Amino acid sequence: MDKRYKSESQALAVIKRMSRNKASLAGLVILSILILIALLATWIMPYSYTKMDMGSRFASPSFQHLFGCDELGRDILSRLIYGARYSLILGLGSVGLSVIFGLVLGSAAGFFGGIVDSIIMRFLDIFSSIPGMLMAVVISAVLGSGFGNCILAISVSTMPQYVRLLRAQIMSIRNMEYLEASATLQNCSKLRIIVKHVLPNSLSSMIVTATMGVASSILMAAGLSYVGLGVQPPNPEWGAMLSGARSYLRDYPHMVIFPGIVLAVTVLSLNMLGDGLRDALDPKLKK
Amino acid sequence: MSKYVIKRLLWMIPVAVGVAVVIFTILYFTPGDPAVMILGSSATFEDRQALRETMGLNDGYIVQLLRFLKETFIEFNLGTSYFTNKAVTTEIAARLPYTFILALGSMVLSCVIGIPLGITAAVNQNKLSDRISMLIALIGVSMPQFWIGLLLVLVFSVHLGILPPSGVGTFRHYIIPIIATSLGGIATQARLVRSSMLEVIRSDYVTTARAKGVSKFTAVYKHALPNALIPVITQVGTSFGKTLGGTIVIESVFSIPGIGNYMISAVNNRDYPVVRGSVVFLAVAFSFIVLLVDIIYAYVDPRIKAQYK
Repeated sequence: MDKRYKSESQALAVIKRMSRNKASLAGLVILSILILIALLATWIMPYSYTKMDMGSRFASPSFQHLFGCDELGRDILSRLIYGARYSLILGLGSVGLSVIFGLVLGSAAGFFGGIVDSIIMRFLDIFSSIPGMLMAVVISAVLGSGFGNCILAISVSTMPQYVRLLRAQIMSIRNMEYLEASATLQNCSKLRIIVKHVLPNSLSSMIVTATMGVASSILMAAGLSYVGLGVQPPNPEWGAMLSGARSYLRDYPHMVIFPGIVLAVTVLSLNMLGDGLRDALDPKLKK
Repeated sequence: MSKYVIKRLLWMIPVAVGVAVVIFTILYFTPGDPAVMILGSSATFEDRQALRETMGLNDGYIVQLLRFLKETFIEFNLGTSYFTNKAVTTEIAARLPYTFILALGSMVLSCVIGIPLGITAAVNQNKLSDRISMLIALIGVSMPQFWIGLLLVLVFSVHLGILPPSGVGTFRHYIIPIIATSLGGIATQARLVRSSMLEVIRSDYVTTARAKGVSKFTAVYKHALPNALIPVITQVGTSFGKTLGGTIVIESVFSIPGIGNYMISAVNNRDYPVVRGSVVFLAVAFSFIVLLVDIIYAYVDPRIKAQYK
């Protein structure tokens, strides 16, 4: 009896709760398929994403080219498949970087309190008075366009929410007895307390925020690429593809429709997963 | 109450100055010599040097920063463009109305549709209409705005020919951009109203009202709704401020000559005074809107008002 009770770990309970939520399960499935597609891109592309075929310029969707071809006769499906790498790495990379910012600054602010906290929070106040998209545009303007710079621009402009989140988490638990106990009994250093006790406690809200964050970062990256500040053509990033396709909207709408659908489905799957995770990780909410 | 307002107003000053410092510093360290950009690479070294001297570019970072702050906050002068030689402030003033209409229109539309959608979803929690409206809301936040804009152009301009595809001029030019900008807002609004409404509907005072014989309609719309809308105020205000600074992509899709378009062309031309001026202006406008929202919030919520009596 005791044993069975113990085997139900928190992770298992969360997975159980999540599997009851069909939308989040669907999100997880779609996302896994997308990740798989991105990983296997080079093998499953029907054509090379750079191969130009002047004979099939602007080809409409057909069995040969399921999503049609673009202005240089490149197969759109292949470009979208390869582009999944760009969008997913952009999304995951920028959120990963923001989370690191959040961990470092947030735990410093939350744990040391006092002057360190004041400085970091005042800095964030200033930082968050600059709307995210604007900040990203300024940083891209300074660094220049490109893949890595785009990741950096997005992560810097979305970083404040992660710092705030982690700080709030730490503030709420830092005076709890078990932390005091581990500090005195095991002679834990502050760093060790942060890593061993504080971080695991704030993991669940971090995961939810990060999942939703990947979704909005992908959208932001597409927007940046669309105005020419993110990933540059001929790289098959979805936003850049849309940007190239806009001049042909009138005559060849398939060039605009398919990249957008893929982009929307990706973001939708992340949002569905994030919603489900939030409900699953917070049992109080779901009554 | 006035104490709170004054406190918040005073706090805005360091934030605004801080924003200006951050933006100035980021752009200060950007590679590229403005003198070369203005005179072209064929100019002589002496000419460039002379221009640098008159522009004050030979001064140190601190001197330039202080001069920038003085010009911005005391003289309200955001500098002049490297290329057109026009004052950034007059250019912004000329372009602000377009961006403002776009942001205001999308704010109104997202409230008018989003709030009723959220209420309906909350009142019918877990029923079909709730599921459907939340699914629509989720899809709404997941679609890139500029893509929706392009699709709307495809349907309403290219195929039906009833709305102009781009530009400004008449009211009809704004319909597609405003719808495209507000879709995300509608969705966010609906989700927020739903969750806030659900929380309030379950609270004791609503149950009491129902127990005393108040009809469900009155309990929901007269007792619960005003309280449920309090958090929505913050959301509406913040998203209005964000839209003001975030219509960059939409303006570029529809060739609207607003601040966003001004900025993007400045970024592409490396016209830094314009970038700097626009960002500082938009960021200060944003923090002012947030301040306004907080004051309204404190005004409508007696719990906060009481703290500052």
